Amino acid sequence: MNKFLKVLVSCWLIAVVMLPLSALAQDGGEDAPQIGFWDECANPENLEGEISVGAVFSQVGIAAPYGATQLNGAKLAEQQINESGYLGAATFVLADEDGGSERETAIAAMTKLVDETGVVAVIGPTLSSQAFAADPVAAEQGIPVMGVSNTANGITSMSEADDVNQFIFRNSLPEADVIPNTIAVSVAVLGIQKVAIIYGDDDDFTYSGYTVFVDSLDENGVEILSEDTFQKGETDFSVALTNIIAEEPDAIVVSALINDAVQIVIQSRQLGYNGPIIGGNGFNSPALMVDAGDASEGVLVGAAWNIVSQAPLNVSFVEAYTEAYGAAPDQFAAQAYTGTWLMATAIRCADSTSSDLIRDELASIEGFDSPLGPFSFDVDRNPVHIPVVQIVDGGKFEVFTDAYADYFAE
Amino acid sequence: MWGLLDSLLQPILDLATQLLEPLLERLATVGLSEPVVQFMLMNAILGVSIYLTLNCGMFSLANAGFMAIGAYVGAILTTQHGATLGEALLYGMLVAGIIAIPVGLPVLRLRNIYLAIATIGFGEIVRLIILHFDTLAVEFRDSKIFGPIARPILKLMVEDVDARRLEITLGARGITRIPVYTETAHLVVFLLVLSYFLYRLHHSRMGRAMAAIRQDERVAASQGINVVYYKNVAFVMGAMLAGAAGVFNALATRTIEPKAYGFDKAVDILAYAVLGGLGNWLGPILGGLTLTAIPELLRELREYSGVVTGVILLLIIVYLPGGLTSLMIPSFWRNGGRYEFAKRVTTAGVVLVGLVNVLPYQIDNGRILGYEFWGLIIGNMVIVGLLLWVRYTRQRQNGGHFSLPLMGVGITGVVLFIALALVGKIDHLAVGYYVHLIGMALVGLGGWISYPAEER
Amino acid sequence: MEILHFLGLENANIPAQLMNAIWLGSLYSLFALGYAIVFSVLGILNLSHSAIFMWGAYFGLAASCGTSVYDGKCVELNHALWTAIPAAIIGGGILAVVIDRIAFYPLRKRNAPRLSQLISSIGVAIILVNLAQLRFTAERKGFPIADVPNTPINVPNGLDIEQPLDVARLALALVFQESGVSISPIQILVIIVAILLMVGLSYVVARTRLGKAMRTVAFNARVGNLLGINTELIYMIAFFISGALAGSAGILFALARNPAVDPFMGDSLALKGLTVIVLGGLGSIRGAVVGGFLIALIEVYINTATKYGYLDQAFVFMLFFFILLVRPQGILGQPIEDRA
Repeated sequence: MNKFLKVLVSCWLIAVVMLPLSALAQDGGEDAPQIGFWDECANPENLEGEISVGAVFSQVGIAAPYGATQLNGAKLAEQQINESGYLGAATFVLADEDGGSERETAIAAMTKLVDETGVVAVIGPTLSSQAFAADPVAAEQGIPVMGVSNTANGITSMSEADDVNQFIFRNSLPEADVIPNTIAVSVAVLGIQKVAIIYGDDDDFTYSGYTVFVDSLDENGVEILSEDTFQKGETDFSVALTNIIAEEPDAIVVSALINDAVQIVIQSRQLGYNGPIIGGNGFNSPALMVDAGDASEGVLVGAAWNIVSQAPLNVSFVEAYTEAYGAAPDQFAAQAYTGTWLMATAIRCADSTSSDLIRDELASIEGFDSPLGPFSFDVDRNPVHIPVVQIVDGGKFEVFTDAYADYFAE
Repeated sequence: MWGLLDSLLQPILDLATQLLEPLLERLATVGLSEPVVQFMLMNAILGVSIYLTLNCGMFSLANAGFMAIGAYVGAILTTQHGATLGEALLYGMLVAGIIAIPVGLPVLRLRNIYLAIATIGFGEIVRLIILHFDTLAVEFRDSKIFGPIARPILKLMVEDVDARRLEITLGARGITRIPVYTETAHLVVFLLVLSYFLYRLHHSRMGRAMAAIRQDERVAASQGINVVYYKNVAFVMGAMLAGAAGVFNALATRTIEPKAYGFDKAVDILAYAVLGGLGNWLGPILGGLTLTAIPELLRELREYSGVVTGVILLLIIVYLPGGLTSLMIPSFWRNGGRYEFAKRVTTAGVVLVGLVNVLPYQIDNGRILGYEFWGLIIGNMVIVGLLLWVRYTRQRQNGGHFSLPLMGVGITGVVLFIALALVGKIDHLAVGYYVHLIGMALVGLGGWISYPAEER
Repeated sequence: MEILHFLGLENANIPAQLMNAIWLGSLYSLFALGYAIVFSVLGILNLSHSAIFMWGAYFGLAASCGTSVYDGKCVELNHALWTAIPAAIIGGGILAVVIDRIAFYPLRKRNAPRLSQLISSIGVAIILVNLAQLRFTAERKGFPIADVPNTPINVPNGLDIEQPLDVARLALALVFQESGVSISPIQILVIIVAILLMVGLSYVVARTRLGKAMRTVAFNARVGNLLGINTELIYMIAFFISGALAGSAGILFALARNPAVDPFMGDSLALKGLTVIVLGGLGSIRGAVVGGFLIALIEVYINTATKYGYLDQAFVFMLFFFILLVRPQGILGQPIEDRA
């Protein structure tokens, strides 16, 4: 029976290795937040009790790093909404369910929220493929669902039935809106004529980004010297980058998520490339400067959110988030935070827990001041706000303007 | 013919739907909503698909690849040609089966680990080909040699073969807007038919031949059994089942992407069969159902579901090689006399207590499993000490039984944890508390059972 | 020049790509060596090897950064950077031995089929990856960038050419710069350590008593027992060496590609390591080395010379598949009886 004892002892060893996970710090947010339609909509009178809004973010699996900051952003918003009495007598409850990183797990989470928890609306899920799989579960029952990180084409028109589509929103600016602007601005300022592209071909986000890059480079008359690919989990880009640098491009265009983006930036600088590197939403994270250090200087990032924006709402959001979680927010957090406030606003303006009314109010939101800037939904329930082009200069993001025309000439 | 089949099947499906309704409602109350039940049933089919090959002595990890083929065939047929579920299922299984023949003939010459590795390679190749299918299709269409062959095939998949960019599998973005045709009743009926087929197979000439091949290939061959033939038949049947599961999966999730059917899925499928047990065909079905349900039942502990899955897999393969179904066989408990029985009871207790310890003890300030950190540490320290003591006394007695020490550990464990709960270090309303108590009680019970009768 | 044209290499930066191949090859070989040792001595395909690789990197990170890596990024070093390397090697070795005792020893004792061992190694891999995610979160971590010497060697300004060491550095830098090769001190360290370990290991296996004992046990454990060899000890040593190799590969990779530590960092290597040892010959130590460099060369060549760079992994797997079918013992392996 010796071995049973061993198992038991090893179980305990494992348990002791897993020291307790510290509970999330939940303080912060001293300044009364100014965000919200305080004047546009009257104080709600009919709302009372707890109003549950679902949140499907990835807490396990490959998308967990993004889901974690999303949940942080949404929880911060939940706390501010309740502290400020935005919903009158009612309490805003963020019912978060882990969506995993697969389609099946997202469907299960969404079904649980809709059928069991009885939410009035849902925020999430994290991945676009999960949104295609799980959004109709809520939308077909007339419960509005808002993606806060889904950038693939056709998210808000995924169903054959338009009355289902009417319930699907997103506040994450798709690559198709961000990238053309980025390319146009950088071509105009830097006079780029020939570029090389490197992208991840096994991920829907990076692959969509790549197709948009190709189209907008074509439109701007930029020659594409070569296209290289990488796959999830690859960390060595030196072979592809050596080939790219040998072609002497004016810029390297990259469609990658932040971890790969950091490696590509570091390795291309190591290989002696000092020109511009152009990236999309995937690059928009403080980790770019933290992890890549000096190598990140001169990286151009087209994005939906500008962390250094001095707009008061953005400043207070970054402060509150940093105080609560001990790290600067990334774009995922900012979009989840804004999305939660948008949902609360729709509930406040509807002054009802009827999902239909909430949907109508959500669709009619216009000029909502947020950390992302003034925000509206278009007729297709896609976000309308102005994307930014940023450059890493002096260890932080700066808005990329004509002043940088000679930046790379030095 | 479709019409006839439809009119025959429809009443059965309607009946199944009606019968299932109260059951599904009941399951939903414990956290198994209808989609989850569907995924459980699909995974049960996948478990059977790998069981068919394992049952014939072949360790093949190719089933995720065949599942991908089925899923993509189903998705293309329904989105491009407006196929029904029945047609998609038929063609999905056919294509997976046809591809399995040329793959199986050479690969099945390999054995054991070599076969496992080769089929891992096959799965990756399938995933990569699907990922780059559109680019490859253009290459083949424009090539002088392959063009004439490729064109008619591509015509089946896309309307405009001459477009600059072909959009068939759509690379990493995957196919979206797939209609939802899969219903729980379809899956239940499919699984019932499958079970009947497996039952018949088990008692047929073919089933006996396959069992003989698993026992010893050379002996089977010397008995005049056509080893190559039966192996390939089993491989193709497994592939067709995996293809069917793929079609059901695609027509339930609205969207498919290549990475959903990679190496991770192959490992999952293997885990279903191993967990349930390979002793008979019920095992993989049970394994698929259980392993899919566990993360949903433990939804509050989702973070830990990966660890739990791994631990279960390890515990089963090391301590319960027959899988879960072997627990249901009376001879498992009876064989080997009282000492063996006691050993098994103790194992069950140790597994339970071990699980509680691998599970978290401090989420949301320690209230889900209901442990406070120090309460758990103190409790565990005492029990580890006691177990070491058991080992020590056993060595001293030099081969003597250790019923008394085990009973001591069990009683101390129960008393200690009740005491800790009374002091308030453990939440007496928590699930983990009771699992722990039952586990410790089983440890003590094992000791009691093994205690020699004359001394009792 | 014509041959370069024929090979499609006329535009390539050949010295730089060769250096890339050498560096990638060292990494693959170092990783695959551990796979190969366990396979040759025990006949087990240990699929948790990539998880040991990943945990090696975490052991190293925790050793030199302290406990701050549990919740956040490593901002400053607690101990000198080099402490990470022995920590990873010892940690990886011990982890592998523990895995053996928990997951393989009971099966071995029961004489369970080898497939059971493959499955239990998969179970261990799942547990280890998920534990890492629980303990360190899924966020990618690394050493503070300023502390890792991974800026490429180039001709520095203001060198004191009186110093012989600096003259050597200057010469090295000039050679690299002239040939267009960019390589960092840490990458050179990886290559040197990998070569040292490979040579040392071949020596141990071929010449020492321990190596003889290992080969005897690999040939037949019962014969080993009869000859008075403590087989369990040999198994333990084999696992320790294998884990130490995985751990060292993990930490060296983490240093060279800083920041690169996350729970999934071993995933892509798990299957690649498999292709390497299949190509070189399952269980052959020299085969693992040759296979590693060969795979690296093939990848570099496909990416550099053809337009099918996006298919490089598919090519590698097709080759792998083909080799298994026509020559399952690999390039350098011994013929095996498991082929039917």
